[in-house]
Amino acid sequence: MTRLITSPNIDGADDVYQWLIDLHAGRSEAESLKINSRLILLLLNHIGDRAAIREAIALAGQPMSPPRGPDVCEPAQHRRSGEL
Amino acid sequence: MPRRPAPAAAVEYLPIVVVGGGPVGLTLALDLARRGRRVTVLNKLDFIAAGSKAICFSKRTLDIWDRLGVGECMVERGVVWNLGKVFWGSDTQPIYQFDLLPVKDQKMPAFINLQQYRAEEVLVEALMKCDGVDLRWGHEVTGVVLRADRVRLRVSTGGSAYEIEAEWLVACDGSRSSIRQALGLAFEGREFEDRFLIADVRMTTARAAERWFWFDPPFNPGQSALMHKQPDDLWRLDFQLGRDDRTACIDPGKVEPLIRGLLGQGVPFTPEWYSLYTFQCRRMARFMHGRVIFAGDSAHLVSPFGARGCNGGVADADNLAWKLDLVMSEAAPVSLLESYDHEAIVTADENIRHSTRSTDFLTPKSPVSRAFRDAVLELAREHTFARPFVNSGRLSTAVSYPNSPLNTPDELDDVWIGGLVPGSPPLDAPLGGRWLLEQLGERFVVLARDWQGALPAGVELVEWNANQGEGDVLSKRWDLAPGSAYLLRPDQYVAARWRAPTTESITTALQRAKGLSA
Repeated sequence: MTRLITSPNIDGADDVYQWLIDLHAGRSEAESLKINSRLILLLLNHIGDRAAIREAIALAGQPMSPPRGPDVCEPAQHRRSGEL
Repeated sequence: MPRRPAPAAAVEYLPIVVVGGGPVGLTLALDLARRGRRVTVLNKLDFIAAGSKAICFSKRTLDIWDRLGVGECMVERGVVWNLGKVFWGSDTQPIYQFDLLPVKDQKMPAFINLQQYRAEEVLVEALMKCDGVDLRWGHEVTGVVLRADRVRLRVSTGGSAYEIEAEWLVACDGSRSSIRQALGLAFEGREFEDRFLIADVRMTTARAAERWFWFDPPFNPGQSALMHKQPDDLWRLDFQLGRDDRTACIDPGKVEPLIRGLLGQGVPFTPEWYSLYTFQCRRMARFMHGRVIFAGDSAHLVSPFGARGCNGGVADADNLAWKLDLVMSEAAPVSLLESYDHEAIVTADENIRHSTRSTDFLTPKSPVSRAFRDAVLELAREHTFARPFVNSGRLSTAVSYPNSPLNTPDELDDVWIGGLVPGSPPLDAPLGGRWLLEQLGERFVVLARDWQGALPAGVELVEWNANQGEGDVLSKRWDLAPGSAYLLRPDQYVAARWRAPTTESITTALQRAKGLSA
């Protein structure tokens, strides 16, 4: 049984997204890496559900399907250039 | 040690040969000798080598040694400790500390520190008092041939050579096992690149007997350090040197600033021993190869963080001795030894897993890995939730064998609230003015409350009842409700348990624990 919520579960998605972007504004990549690490650890502990965390880790590590171009029937090599 | 000359006969026939006179080989020899077995120990060196080897002996090892009559002596000669502290940066307050013996009311402490050579001396002293023990110092195995039900060994000593034909050979000859190499057996695993420096120094100080570990201390920036108290005013200091310093050497000009940085500038000390090391995590695919059995570092190798090397090896000896004894007395089939392969590999894998995880935390292998590690340390100072993530070495504890073929699963109708599931190591508690583990001894035992029936032959009864004036520590720990019983193996592991035991169910479980039935 899946424990991980993958449907919308948080209000004000744009605000939350902006908090994330603001968190990293003006930081070096190394600083951001550490901040993200702290954030992940804080959230993992808050979630506290090993099964859900494992699913999230597995899902995050899976290859995501590439974004689709305007015509899904287009050959792959053309689609890649069309993304630009 | 007096060197025993080569025997006069061309081929000597011996029941059990143990190769290697380290703590694992000596523990095994002592266990077998106490069971009445004739044991021959061959050791390449003709002296007990001093120097920096194992120092931390775990509660489980002490429980095993106590069963063998040397536990109290080890504790007397060692430095007892239960507490570990973790420091980060220049903070003088630990970011985290842990008690390694959270369950009190047990005979043995969480750990003692004792130089390996001093532990070996205690074991040798005990072996000298046993009948049927032949310790041969300065005898080196130079050839091994496997036969169907024998092992042929070529041994050289003092310029002469002789041959042994042994029924069983146990290779306790360390990480560079000559027996393993002679048989061409693989030893697969990982090698870690970081270099470490051990400095054993003598000094007089009032510092506490605790395990102190530093991440990124000012005296060793970007690296780690570890400090342990040993007997005789000896202190073990361990400094991570990193991966880049390929030219690192034991140069006093480099070592002493590290030591002074850790101890404080004005503290006088005398160097005792400096050595550099790297480490590996490796394991053989199988520990049983016909009549040759591998135990300890010859079979599995871990990093030193967590004290899992020597303690893991002593666990092998503990697991093997009673099985080999039963097989040799024909009270159990040779296939019982397959359970050694299963259980010792479970132990080795758990030790390798913990040791590898600790190593990855101590020596992060990528920028992301380092970022997580540093984030854990940064958070741990203020926020308790992060402290369990701090991994400075998960210290050795007894390993369970939940899927051992020797276990009898709980009856479906029996309800247990805690207690010890089959395959668990024993848990000590006060019993009758003494300790439970002292009374479990080294044979099959039924630990029962209000047992009425007859026990199968070869099984002894240890009873707990509510009138012993010690509270109910034992009955709570073991969930020993009235009428319940446990069957314990000669290494004190739990083989089976029942709410309503019968002679028949105990007999069946006993057969299974001896490998006599599936």
